Amino acid sequence: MSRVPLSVAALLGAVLVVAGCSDSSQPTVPSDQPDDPSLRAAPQGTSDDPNELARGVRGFGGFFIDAQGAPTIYLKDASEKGNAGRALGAFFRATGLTPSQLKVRAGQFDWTELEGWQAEGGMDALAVAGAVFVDADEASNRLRIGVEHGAAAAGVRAALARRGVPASAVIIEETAPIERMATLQNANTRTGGLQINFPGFVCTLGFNDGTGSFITNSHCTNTQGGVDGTDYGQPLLSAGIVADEVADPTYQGGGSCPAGRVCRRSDASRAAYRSGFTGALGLISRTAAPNVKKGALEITGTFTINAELLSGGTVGTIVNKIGRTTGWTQGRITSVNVNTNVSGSNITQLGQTFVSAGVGGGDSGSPVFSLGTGNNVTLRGILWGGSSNGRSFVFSPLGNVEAELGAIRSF
Amino acid sequence: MRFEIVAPADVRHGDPVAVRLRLVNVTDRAVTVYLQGRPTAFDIIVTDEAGQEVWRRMAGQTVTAILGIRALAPNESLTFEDVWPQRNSSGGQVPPGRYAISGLMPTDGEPLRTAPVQVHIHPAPPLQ
Repeated sequence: MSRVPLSVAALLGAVLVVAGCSDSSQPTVPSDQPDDPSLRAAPQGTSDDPNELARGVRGFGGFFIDAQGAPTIYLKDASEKGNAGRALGAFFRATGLTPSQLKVRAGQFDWTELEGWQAEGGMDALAVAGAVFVDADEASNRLRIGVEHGAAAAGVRAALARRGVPASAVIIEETAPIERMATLQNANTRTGGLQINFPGFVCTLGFNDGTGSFITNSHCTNTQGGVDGTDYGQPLLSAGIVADEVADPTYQGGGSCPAGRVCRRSDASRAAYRSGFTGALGLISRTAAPNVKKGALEITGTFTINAELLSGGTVGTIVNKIGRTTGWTQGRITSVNVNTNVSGSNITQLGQTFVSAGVGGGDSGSPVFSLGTGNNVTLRGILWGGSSNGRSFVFSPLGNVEAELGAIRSF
Repeated sequence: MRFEIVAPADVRHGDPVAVRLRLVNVTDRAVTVYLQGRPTAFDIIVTDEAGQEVWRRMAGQTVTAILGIRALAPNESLTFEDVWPQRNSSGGQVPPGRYAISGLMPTDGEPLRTAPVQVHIHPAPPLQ
């Protein structure tokens, strides 16, 4: 039997997690409490929702389109069919269906009763370990509850009984848990391209090294230049410290560095994983496609590093990056071996490469690579900045990183 | 949040124009903001009466792509200040006239933008 999709209120638990992650301007920081009070009491439908239109019909128990495409309504009193057809006028006009097509099923419960039980008993039911969803089901005139396993059913029944929800109004079924989509901002698999967090800031994990460490930017440490043991979480510190900074050469003046400034050839640092944590050597999380907006951060698989290129590259070559903010972006190298002043500092990065591709705050540390066959990629360097309009990024070539942090073994 | 810009309405030709950007938590609860850069990046954009961009503070600059996490208590604010030297993007002195100045701050999503304010550059000392 086809069903109307589960309502927002029925998936309140999952919606709260998604709402915590859905704001494009905020890093993923899940909260136990919803920020938006309206989420606590989200109505089942909107003004063009047939269930809203028919709410005032006496004995209304739910409306849906059946498997044969017929508009179907639950009524405790079938004589209300005419009233129901008139109440649903806007729906019929909008959909091209007609009241004459309306089918009536004998309803046992009022829709308002089901909504009330969902709002009260349903909340208690969702608090039971193993509960997945609670739905005032338009298509069965019942409170439908999904549980991961049979053991949760007893707890759910008890919770509903305490709220006075009649057992005859409830259908409990086993279902797969609803899982949050893994994104570059919430996955904790310690691959390249995933979010890292150190006190007060968010960056991207560049790539793992065979020494049990990962490489990110020097400015993605508490003190840019010089080791201070910066702690990292992946994706968040609140989930625990996974690594500590162990290498970050100081910036030096003189020589080829412009007067009054300090320089390095790479904006790179190394963090060693703590005992019990390892990095996914050779892997970079990948998303569906480059330079897209929709689904830009959802992880669809992994790239595999199978080669390294140490030089800054050639103008016109296409390169890619994966970063926690703008995901997978791709574009051509526009300039190589560029000495670049860093905005707001006295730092100059020597011998950098510029790429005409998107970047955003949080992408610092992104691995830069070129595509090979299949999911194989050649690692080329580490991203550290970009233009203020976010249309071009700059990276430190891998050779520059090795010169300052020592030999790299990225696969 | 409220993002506002403050600049003098009238200035003398050739005098630097002090600009202040202010990000204020106007709610009654703590709010966390996510701002790019270290230090936090902010832009000031000047356009002429024809709407053409005359000067931009961060033009041509390379900004670190780090994201800072800042928590603001109710009524707490962040302030960013700089000066428009009355120059155009080529470094030349702009002529007297009316200009619009606005502020912009990159985040990890859409940038924050202020409404523009008008600045009148007078060829003579400003009227009292």
